[in-house]
Amino acid sequence: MLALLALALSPSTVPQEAIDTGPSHLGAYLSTTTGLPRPVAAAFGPSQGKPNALFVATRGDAARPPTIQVFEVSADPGRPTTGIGEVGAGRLERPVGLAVSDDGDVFVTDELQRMLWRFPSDGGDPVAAAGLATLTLPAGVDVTGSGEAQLIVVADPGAGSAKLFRGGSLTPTVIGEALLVRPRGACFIDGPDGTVQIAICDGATHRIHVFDLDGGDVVSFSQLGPHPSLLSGPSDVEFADGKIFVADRENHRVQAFDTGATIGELAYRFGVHAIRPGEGEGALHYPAALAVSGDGLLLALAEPMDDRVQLFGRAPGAEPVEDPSRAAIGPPAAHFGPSISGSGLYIATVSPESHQIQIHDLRGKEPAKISDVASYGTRFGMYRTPCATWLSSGGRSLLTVDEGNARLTRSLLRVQPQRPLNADPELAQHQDGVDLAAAAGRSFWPGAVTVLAPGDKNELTFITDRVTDSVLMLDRNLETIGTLAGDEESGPIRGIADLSPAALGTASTILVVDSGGQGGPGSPGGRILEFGPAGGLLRTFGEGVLVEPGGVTSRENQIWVTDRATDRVERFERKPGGAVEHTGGFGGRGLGPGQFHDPRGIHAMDDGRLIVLDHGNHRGQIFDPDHLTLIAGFGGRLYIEPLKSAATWVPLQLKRDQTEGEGR
Amino acid sequence: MSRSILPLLALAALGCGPGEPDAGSTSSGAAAPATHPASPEVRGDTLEGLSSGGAFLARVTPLVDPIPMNEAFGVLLSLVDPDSGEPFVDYDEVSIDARMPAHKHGMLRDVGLTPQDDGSMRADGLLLHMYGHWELHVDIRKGALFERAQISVRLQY
Repeated sequence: MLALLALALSPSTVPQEAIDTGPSHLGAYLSTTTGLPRPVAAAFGPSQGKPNALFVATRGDAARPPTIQVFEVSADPGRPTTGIGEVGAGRLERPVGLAVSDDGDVFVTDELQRMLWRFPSDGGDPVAAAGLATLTLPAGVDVTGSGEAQLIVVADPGAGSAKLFRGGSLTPTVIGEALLVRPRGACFIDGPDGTVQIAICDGATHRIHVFDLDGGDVVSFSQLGPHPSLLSGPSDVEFADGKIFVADRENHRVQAFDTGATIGELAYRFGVHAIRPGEGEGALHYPAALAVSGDGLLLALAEPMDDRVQLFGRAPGAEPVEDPSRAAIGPPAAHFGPSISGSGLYIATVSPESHQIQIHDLRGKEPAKISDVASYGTRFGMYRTPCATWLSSGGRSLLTVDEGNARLTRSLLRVQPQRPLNADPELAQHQDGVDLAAAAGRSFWPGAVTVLAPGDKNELTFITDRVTDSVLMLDRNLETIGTLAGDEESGPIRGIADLSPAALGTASTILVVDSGGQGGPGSPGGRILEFGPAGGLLRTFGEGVLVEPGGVTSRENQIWVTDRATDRVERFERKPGGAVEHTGGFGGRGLGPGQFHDPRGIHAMDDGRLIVLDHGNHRGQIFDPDHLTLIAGFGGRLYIEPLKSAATWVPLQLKRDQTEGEGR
Repeated sequence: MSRSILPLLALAALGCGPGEPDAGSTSSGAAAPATHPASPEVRGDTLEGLSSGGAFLARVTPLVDPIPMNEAFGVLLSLVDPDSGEPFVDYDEVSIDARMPAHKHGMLRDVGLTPQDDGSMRADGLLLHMYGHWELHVDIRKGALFERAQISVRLQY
């Protein structure tokens, strides 16, 4: 992604004692805490006599379970943070939001448990501050006040709303039900005349909404884009200095907006996109969460993709000074997302940030992108946040799942495999689709898609739903005909992530990735569920091997699974009788051939080639699965060149019986 | 089957990538406006497109000939059952839009549909602001399902 943004800090570090008079702003780089296993949320609050300790929620990895780490921090440039404690170990499974009250209670949302926990400051047992009855799929949280006057707000992207809890009550006021789509972060702000209001960032609409405490819509501002004041995938908000600070995640920056009479006007922004792998010291890479200390001197940014938290302080002047050497603004480039599918000579990849599906032709010396399908919008035929794709019929039929619009779209691709490889911006023609929320009659958060018997009159389409952790089954006419879910014996699915068809003898089955599984807090919980063609659960496998599986694919008796927590690809093999055994795997964190950073989508081609979307490294890798050797790397980053030079890619050839694409 | 015609929300802004608003263009479903007599004006050739699932045939008759570049014009839209030839009414909403797929943008304006006495619908204010290949999209929604008929229009120098 190349959203190169305009402002950097100059100078990058400023002694805080120099900020004693005149206007100042937050955004001067101070220090970085590294080696945190995917930090996803941050908050400042009192701990062990430190009034502004830094709390960081980590998602964990293969070796370290999720927890809340507590640090003593300093406003002195370059001074490292010091760990002083830990909260929630053995209790949390997938924390996503974090807030600390003035009296030191720690509030944590967990999206697997669908809970809001309160960890008392005295170290007592945690209590559920809200749970399944009120939270669908929680995200960011904020707290203000104490006792009967305490207010807690939780963003609930699963429900498309936020929940406000007052004075310890477990019955919330629902906020923004008809306005919010995927609210990610929430914070309390100062309203007019001493009132309190709530600011919420919506990752699907790229807007900031402000509500009063009764849920009244006060104002909303911003929209999608890379330019100053525009947002792309905002993921957290924080109130300080009379401003709403926004983690502008996909623009790799922080933007501060005015409140009061000029609410919504951009005050300033800081951060430049980290281009080199691991680049930091003020350069940002998908900042997911932010926090500002109570004294307003420190701002912390959590960057889960780089396992770090960067700390920023204050600098003189009302806003940062632009660094002209990096003063470029542009839209995002291809960033391979969670899903890949292939058919014939073509593969389709998802780029959520550019809101498009990319179609690649495999006949050249490397996979060549020949078309970007669709553009951003809400109308039928546009995508807000494409998240999954399915290609069939030799590349002629494309399914796209759009989580932002909760829609499945079927498109015809007018591929021409008998003609020379060429780009075609008019390749896709959208045909029909289904509004999944309307079909389900409730909030629906679609994810992966797959198809059994494509093109057949008995064609079945399967789409995952994060709201219910189940799979919706559609017939050829896109009418709902059933659901797949865990049963009493296997337990429910917790954190559904991907789908793939598989072969079981002459029958077809559906593999479902359960990223949370039944491992319980602190233990590897990922697993795969296999459903028969009639919808019955046949078996589960992968327990104890998979930590956080992200993608699955199958060909003949081989099943391959990407694991986001271990940066590996695991191989399973079908044995006579249908049982599945783990038979090895490969990977590990890195940039070399066969190394990954948050591997996501995976697809086994008809000829056996295995394609892995190496999400965090912005690239795809293609392997010979028999020898586990890299045969091609693709993507736009220069550091992919070493992969290409080591590759032994053989272009695909048109089969003699393959005709030109006429569509169905 | 209930049938209402929503003012169309053609979210079609030039360069509709980053920066394009996607929220403000969704107009609310208004009550069907009063009908108007069909236009006696000059008409161009009727263009036809069968929907992807074959449910309906979209017939679009420009109220100008030829379609101008960068000037607003109107069309009459009829939906027909392709088997019986009778008017097709089995939908909840219908919309019309025009886009340039090679450029990934559409018109710069929204277009509403007004019922006519003869059962057709009139859309005023379409504006194709560039020469080249345009596609007219006629989308219906019935319940949760969408279906599209697509008609090619080429504006030439």
